[in-house]
Amino acid sequence: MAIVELENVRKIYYLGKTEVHALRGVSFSIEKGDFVSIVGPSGSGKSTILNLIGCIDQPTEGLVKINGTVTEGLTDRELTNLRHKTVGFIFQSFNLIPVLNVYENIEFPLLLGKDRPGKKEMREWIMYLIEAVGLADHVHHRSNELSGGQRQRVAIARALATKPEIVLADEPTANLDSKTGQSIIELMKKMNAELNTTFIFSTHDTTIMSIADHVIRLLDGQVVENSKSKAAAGGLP
Amino acid sequence: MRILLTIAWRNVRQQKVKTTIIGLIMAIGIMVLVVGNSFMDTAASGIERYYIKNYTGHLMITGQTKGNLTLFGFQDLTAMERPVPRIPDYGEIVEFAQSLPYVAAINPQVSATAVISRGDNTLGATQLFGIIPGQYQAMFPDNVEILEGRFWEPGQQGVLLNKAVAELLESQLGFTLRPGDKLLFTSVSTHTGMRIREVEITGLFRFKQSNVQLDMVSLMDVSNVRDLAGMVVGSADPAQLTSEERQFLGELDVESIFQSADSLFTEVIVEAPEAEDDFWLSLLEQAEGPEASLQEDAGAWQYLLVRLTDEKYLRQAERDFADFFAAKGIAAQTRNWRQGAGALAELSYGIKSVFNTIVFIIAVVAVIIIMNTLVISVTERMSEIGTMRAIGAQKSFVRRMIVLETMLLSGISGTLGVAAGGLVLLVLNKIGLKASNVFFEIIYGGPELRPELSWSAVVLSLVVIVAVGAVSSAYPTALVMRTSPLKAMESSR
Repeated sequence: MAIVELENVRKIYYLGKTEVHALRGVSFSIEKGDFVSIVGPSGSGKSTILNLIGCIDQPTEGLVKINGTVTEGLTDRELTNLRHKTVGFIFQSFNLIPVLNVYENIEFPLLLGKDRPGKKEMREWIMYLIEAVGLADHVHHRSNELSGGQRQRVAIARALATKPEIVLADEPTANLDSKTGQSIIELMKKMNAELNTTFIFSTHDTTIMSIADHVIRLLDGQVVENSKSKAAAGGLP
Repeated sequence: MRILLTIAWRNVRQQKVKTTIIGLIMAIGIMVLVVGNSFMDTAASGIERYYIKNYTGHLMITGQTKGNLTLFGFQDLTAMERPVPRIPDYGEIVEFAQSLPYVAAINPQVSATAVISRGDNTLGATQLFGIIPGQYQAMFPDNVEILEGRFWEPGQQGVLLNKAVAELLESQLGFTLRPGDKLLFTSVSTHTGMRIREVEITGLFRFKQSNVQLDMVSLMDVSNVRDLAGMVVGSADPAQLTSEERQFLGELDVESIFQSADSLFTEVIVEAPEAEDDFWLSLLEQAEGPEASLQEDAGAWQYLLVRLTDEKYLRQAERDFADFFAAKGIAAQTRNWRQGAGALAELSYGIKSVFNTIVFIIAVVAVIIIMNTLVISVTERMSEIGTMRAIGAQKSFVRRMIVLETMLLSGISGTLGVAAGGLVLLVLNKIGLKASNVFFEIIYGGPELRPELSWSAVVLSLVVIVAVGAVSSAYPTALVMRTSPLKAMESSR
């Protein structure tokens, strides 16, 4: 079953009186558990697609369906609920809440919804995630006490906290050195395999895009390649 | 809620510049508010205490009338044009007042304003309270300090001259006034014409707790004050009276009162004029002679002052008297001490209003500064707020977070402000503030003020701080509410 479906999606931005066509009729679908890389040069529409899948933007035309729900016409509250239940975010600049420590940052999304797990269950899950991302020794550190790689690990754990169907990562390795970037991608791949969570990330980096089992290549707002390669998943060093 | 509090508290601690700017503005504002209002409340309660204890009692009964009627007469533009009404059915009212268990004492008074002269010299003016010394002292046992002489004897006439008035007169006369000296008291109004009485000084006194208004008050036998106030009976000619004048005269036969309501020089009564006083002698020549003189209305009183056993009975007393007046059809009414005390007491409340207006303006300025600081702070946190929205925080969560942060900051600053205000008041209370001039004497309600922390000022301050916090966070919150989760993505790139 497709967890993400885009049908003939167009997105136009307005810069003053100038129309910028960010997406020009994009269609593709992503299956549950895919490890998807959206690649393309700057301005090709990668971020726009992530924004649409993440329900933080709406298409000008076309249909976006997330886990069976069409996003068009949903209220802000409904979109927020959909994001909270279905989507996790990993940002390029990590975007941790600066006043919260590692544990609290991961706990934060769990405290937002109405259906909260019990305290014990929540603590065990958070500690599992912290251990899974290798930060067991940094539970009470705040983001300014962590390195870039460590911050991105926290962001990954936070994105997974609500056990979402989809995790979106907008160029997650752009602000990291290549070695750290590689380890972050490996971590994402590991969580993808363990939790069967769909990971969708945009990147310029040709070395990490090769790890993806589903590559969507964009150029000038159009899909120029949509290839699935299960073999690529086994290509981890 | 726990996470909101955690974030709010840590942001308040972490954003030191914002916290310092907003915190200082709020704390200083609240300190000023607490000190200022405590100051005003202490002064007002001092004024209330000493007026009730020494001059007005808890309430005063007067004839029914509109306008700003005080113990000093009407204090409005119509003062010269209409008489202070006499209390109708005075005997019945006294009887009723004495039957009430919570009435501790009553005291009747009449009031008049008179110009004082001696020989050809007009020396000054005084407010006269016409009283019965025994009853007055029973009601206000501790307000008069006799410096020289004594009260006049029962059945006799005389004036106990206020030392402050005497000093004013002496500066013009060039010699010291003594008991036994005589002065001419002249009252003029459109309703009584000109009335003159020569009265002997029986003593000099001062009010133990006084102010610029009370320094003008002298005590005189009621007979002379009634005459100066135009409260007289007996007339040679019928008079045309207005309805208000009829009310003023109560149940009296209106045809037997004034010789002529139109004449300014209705009557001149002078006792033992100075032989060399040509001016007054000429006036005497114009007068019709003692045989036509008006007689005092011996049962006429303008005010009945009532002291209660406890202030808590004030509302009940007002109700009981109102019911009694209604049941008996008596055209009388009660006025509270503040109405009785007149302009000066009102002025102290007026000053409080002015102070609160200034505080309001300062609060508006504070709101603008705080709002600007919050807007800057919120703008800096757009990425953080966008991230929260992206990962599932509803708008309401973000709104609560900003409001809680502002309220937390307001609460801490407010508490510090109240504490600082309390400290300042403690010091001022120990030192005591001396009034350096009449203006401050009015504000202080006396020559010295020892301000105390007023809990109503504390409550008011907390209300103000919450309001300032709420208002100043309104725009930044609206700004935050418009923050799209896209901000998180955009700022991240």
